Amino acid sequence: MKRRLSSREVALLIVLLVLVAASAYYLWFYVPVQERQTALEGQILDTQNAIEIDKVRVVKMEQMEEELRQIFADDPNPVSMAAYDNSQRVMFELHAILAETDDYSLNFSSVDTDGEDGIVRRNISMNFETGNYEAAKDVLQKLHDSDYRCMMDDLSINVEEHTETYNLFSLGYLFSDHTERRTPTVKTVTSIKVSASIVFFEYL
Amino acid sequence: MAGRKKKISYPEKKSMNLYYKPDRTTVPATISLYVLFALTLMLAFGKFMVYDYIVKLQETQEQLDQVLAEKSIYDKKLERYDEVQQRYRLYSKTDDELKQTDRMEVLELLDSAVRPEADIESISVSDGFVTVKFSGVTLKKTAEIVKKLEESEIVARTTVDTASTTESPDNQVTANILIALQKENEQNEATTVEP
Repeated sequence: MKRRLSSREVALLIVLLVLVAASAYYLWFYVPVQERQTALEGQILDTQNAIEIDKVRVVKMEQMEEELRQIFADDPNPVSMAAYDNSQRVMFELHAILAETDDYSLNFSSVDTDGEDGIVRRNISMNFETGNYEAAKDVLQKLHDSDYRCMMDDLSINVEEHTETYNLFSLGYLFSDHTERRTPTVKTVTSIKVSASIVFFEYL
Repeated sequence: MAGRKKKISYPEKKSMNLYYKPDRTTVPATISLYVLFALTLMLAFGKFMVYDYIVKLQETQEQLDQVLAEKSIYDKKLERYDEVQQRYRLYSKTDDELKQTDRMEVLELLDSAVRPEADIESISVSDGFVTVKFSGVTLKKTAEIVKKLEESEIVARTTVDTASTTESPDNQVTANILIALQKENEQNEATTVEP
């Protein structure tokens, strides 16, 4: 049986319909759209920040490339940094260079692996002795031009002179009646004592 | 009693309202008005509450596309970054090397400025300072050596610490010279000035 709705019922029905429509709009349109909008804006902001970082990196890369071009222009075969751990090769190299000296000692101290630049610093203290300044400088030059990148510091070169006494006998003395004796010969000997600390660089 | 008739009263209306209000709710014009009003509301709602949001969303999406396109250009430029950085690490000087004056350069300087004239007794190079002790030259020659040293680009300043005469007949001296190296002392001064 058909019955006309009272005006109150109609009003309530309309209020209900409005509420349902508003809820549907809010849940199925407004919220997803706002979420998408926020996500897009966040993505734009992140990308813009990444672009700013990229701009800096591009400038840095260009500077690095320019510097590398300059390095290779100055020396077509520059010494590159060895990979960590290069201790054995360093020891062989040091031995090969210092073998020319009269005497040498090496002290392998700490290996600094904490550098923020990812570079390991192998610290070695060394002392060696040569007969003249040129030989000492030659050793230092060979260390400087070594196949493994290194840096010298705390360099100290001391010229020391001391006398050495030789008792030289002639061959005739051996067969003589030992009455003829040569006077001892005093000779001044110069020695160059070098001490230095040397840092070998390796990359991690 | 049976013959007595009861008086019958009839409803009576003495006035009559002739005002007639026709029902217009079903008139096409009224319906059109309601429909128009509803349409206006719907249009306003659609414009401000739906269309504008969608347009804004599309604009934001376009903006993101543009930014991503720009980013891809930089990504393309930076494709070789790691490779360049690795090569740079291998071949470029470290910070320590950049801060330091090459010790062989220092020895070359001493060889060219001091050694031809004097007998070097000791050389010490540390923390940006070189101490060199030499003998076998006169005070005048010592001054010339100092001048030569100061002309070098790697030298910041030179100080003669001591110059004592020896017993030699031609007034030869033994001198101690302190040389401040330009690069390392420049950095030290710069570090001091910085707050």
